[in-house]
Amino acid sequence: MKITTSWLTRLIKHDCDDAELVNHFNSLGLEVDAVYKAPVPFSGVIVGRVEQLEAHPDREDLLVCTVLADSERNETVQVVCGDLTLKLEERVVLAQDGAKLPDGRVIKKTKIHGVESNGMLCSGRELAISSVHETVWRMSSNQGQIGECPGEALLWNDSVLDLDLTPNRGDCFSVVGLARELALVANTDYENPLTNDSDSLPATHSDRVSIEVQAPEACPIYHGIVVKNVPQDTSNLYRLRKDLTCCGLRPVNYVVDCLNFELLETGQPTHAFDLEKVKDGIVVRFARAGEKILLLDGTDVTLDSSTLVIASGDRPVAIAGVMGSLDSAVTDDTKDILLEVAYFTPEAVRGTARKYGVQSEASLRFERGVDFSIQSQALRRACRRLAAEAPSSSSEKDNAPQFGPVVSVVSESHLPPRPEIFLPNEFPKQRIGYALDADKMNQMFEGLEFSFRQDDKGWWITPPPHRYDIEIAEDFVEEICRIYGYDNIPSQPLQATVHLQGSKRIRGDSRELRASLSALGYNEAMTYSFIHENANEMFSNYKKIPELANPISVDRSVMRCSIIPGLLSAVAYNTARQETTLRLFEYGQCFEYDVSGELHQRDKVAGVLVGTRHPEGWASGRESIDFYDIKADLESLLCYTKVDFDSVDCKWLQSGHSASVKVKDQIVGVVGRVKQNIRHQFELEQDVYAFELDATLLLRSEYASFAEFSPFPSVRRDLAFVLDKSVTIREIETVVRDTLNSLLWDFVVFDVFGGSQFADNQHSIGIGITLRHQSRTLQDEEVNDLMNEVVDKITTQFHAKLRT
Amino acid sequence: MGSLNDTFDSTLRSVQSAQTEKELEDIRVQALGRKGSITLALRGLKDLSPEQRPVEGEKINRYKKSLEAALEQRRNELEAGIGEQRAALDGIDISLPSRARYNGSLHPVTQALTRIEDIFLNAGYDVIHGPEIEDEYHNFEALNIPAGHPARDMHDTFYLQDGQVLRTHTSPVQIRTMESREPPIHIICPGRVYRCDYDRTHTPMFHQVEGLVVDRGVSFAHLKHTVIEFIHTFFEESVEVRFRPSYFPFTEPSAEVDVKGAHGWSEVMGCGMVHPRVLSMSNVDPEEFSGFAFGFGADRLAMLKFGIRDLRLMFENDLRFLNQFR
Repeated sequence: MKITTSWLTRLIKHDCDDAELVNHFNSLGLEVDAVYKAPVPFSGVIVGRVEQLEAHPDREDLLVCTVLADSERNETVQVVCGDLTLKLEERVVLAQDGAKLPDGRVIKKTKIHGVESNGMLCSGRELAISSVHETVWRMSSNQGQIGECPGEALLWNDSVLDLDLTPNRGDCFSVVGLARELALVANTDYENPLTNDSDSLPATHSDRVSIEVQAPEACPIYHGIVVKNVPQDTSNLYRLRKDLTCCGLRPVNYVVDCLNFELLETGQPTHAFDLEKVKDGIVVRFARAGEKILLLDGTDVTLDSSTLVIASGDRPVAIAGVMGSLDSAVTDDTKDILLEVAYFTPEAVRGTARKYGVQSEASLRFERGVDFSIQSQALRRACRRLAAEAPSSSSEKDNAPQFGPVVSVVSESHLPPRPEIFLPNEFPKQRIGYALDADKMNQMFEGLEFSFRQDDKGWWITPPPHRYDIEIAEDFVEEICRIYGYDNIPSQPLQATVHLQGSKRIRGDSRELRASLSALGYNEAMTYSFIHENANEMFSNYKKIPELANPISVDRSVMRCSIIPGLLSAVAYNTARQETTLRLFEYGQCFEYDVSGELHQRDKVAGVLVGTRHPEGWASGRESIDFYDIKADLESLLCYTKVDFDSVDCKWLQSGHSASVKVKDQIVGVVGRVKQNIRHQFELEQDVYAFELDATLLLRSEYASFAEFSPFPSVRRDLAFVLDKSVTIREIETVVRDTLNSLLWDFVVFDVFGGSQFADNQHSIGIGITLRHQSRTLQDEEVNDLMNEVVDKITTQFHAKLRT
Repeated sequence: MGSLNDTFDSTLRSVQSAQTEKELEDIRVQALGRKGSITLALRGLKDLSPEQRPVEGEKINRYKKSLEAALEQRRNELEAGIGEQRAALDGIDISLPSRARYNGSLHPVTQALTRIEDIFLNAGYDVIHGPEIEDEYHNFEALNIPAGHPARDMHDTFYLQDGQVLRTHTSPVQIRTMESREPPIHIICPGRVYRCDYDRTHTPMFHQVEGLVVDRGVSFAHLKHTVIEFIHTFFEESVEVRFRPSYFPFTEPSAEVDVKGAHGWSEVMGCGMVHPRVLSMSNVDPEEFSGFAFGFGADRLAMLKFGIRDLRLMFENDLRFLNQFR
């Protein structure tokens, strides 16, 4: 809601500077988004002084003037002008070459009957500051400086407040409503033009239009009045139009502008129909499904049966409280109108504007709730406005608008209820935590126009018809706090019973995983939870996908089943910026429907690796990372538990280069090299290694239990075998473990190499075995025997050769 | 025997000032060698009277031990000094770059969230998480935002094809907590939330932290204190804080909280007293209990804390950005 400060101060009889107004409104909960100088509706226009006047060589009705445009440089401009009353030394308003006037005209250099005219002297009407067009506008000697824009000096010395109003405060969508609020904190009265207008409107003709309300629950009040002979000359509307323009409304025509002005001032929307188009009478009813209406903003709408319309004859002529039809609209030539001043309930209008994509000043107010006690006064004021803004010549009797009798249909029982609400004496103090003086609260209630009575238990309060947000005792607490000032309420420390508690998560929570991965050299990323449908399909195992109905773009249309696509995009983003080594991880929720259609939302942790193992340097080369790097990272990450790797068939990982990750025999995720075709989809040239784990399976909630360790010395023996490459280390380790059982303290692979000295499918592996007995020192002979047994088993089972 | 005494003192001094092994050896020979002063003195004992002999003998032996100890100590000192000098001679270039590792980092939002969580955990609050895909009941209805309510316009909600929503705030977690726990409740609910909006200060996904306290006798004054104390703790300075009345369907009274920075006031938080309808819908008796709730964007606090101007940077994952938060 935009409002000019001059309009406000007209009603509150109190001068506030802009900063004071902003503070007051903010402290009342009516947030001021911006304050700015009223925009001047013309440009290239300056104050000038007439220096020289000569007759036009060819025309008696024109003057050739030389106007001083810059007093310092003594620059002058020659213009041809038709105002013969112009005198030397008079200060005028000069539109220079290229100037833009309020009506959109652009002034250009030209020749008028053979004489150069390099601009134009403006009349009051051309500047939109008066209705006079016959003479050019004269600036008084104290108004503006030569060469400067006369905007502020004329009409635009005003500010605009742009308020961001919350949806509960429909009552503040008017100058009256804002003035009422301001008066509460500025210690002043305000003038309500509605309550001050009680005189009746004398009818000067008897024409009327019949009104039938078929849906009184949606339209409890409908007043209609036929106004004949409405003025069309807008030349006197300059002040009103200035206010409308500053408040963001475009001037349209005499009737619409007058009604819009009243709408902004009182908050009561009205509508004018061309009388010709509603001669058959007005019916307020719900639309028949499929009925069509072409609205005045050009929108073609097919109505459904929940939409309240104003119909005439058999056609809807307006969506009630939203917008009228183009066909029945008032044009510049309309002479006779039907003026509608109605009350539509919020329920009847709410959602309608959004449904048809047509917001209007009327719908904005009706859907939030309009004061249902003001329609009669608003109608009288609107009529008076229609009469008052006509140029003085047309306010003579025969030209003045003629008002007929008011036709009203009112259903009191359908008006919104305003039941009395009980506010117990002790309640404000309990909720606020601070006791306010009862007299002070009474004053507040009066200022808020609440009617109330008091007994020894508390207040019985009836909220006024303009407030739709007062329903329970807590609402009064807010009103009290708001007017007293939130910042004036002292704060108080919260007290609570102390309970001791420890975390049940011992290891592997999100905080630890994040800390570990960052210590392992990974940068934490945060990618969007919504991804491209195709990306989702590459990673999801299920058909049903969590697809958004209203995505922000095609790229972000499906909730991710995996973090990997987001990370791959992040890798691509950085690769495009010359970062070729990346370790990224992310922790977050992923979304999947299982085969039965049930939605699972689980925390996952994922990481990707590309590039080199070490930063480039003299000591380490430029070796690319491989599977064993990412495997090491996972072992470190999960070092608090037993982790195992097994071959896996994964949709997005290369088989033979990937593994499942098992914690205590439960698969918790996968790790390996991303399939080439998938990495190409993300435009990645380098190999990418990745892991993704179900974070909920990584939590350990039990403590480690201590086991006595052997104090006896260990014995280490190294063995090297030549064997087929197809034999896995796991197989060999299993043999060693089964042979040595509890004596095996440690098993390492210290060497793996192939080469020309071996057959193509063979290589050499070196293993180191450390043995230790729990309760005694091991003897050389028994170790030798055990080693022989290990060698025997490995050579026979795997056709291996011991290297000596 | 006075001369032996003097000789001994000067010998000790020359030991302490000796600069080479050779000097030490010469001193040793002069005092303890076959013709050394102490050796000769010991030999001369036999010429003394039986009364004097033990007294003098003990004295000379004491000199001898002291001198030997002094020689040993000085020899060690000299050796150590030589070792240092040698090591210094073949010193390494410590300016040569290390065998470096890649260093990771935690996202600034994570860092802010951790800090926020710690502040409340230390005060005895619980940290509760919840689902990001929510039903309309928990995201709206249970928070006093029925269908068609104009407040739904404030939310720019993402809908799923099946009618569920991406939560527009983490308030549904508060509802779920009230449904499953008895008061007193002191919780915060951090997590991702979603709204259809995209510009310099809005991304369609961001992080919110909601707090909820429900107990007997909880008042607006308590809320003010909690919020102000939190802001001061988080920013580690007594920034100026301002409360403005506002509107949220789930709180009454409601407030927006601004903090004053170098560029004037900026909005950081919404809060209020939990609406009695919200309490009763979640089976908490509003006659007996009252509560307050607050909610703020963790990304926004991170931006203020780290001086980040554009929210969108948070989710671009540019390494030049991430590496600044090690």
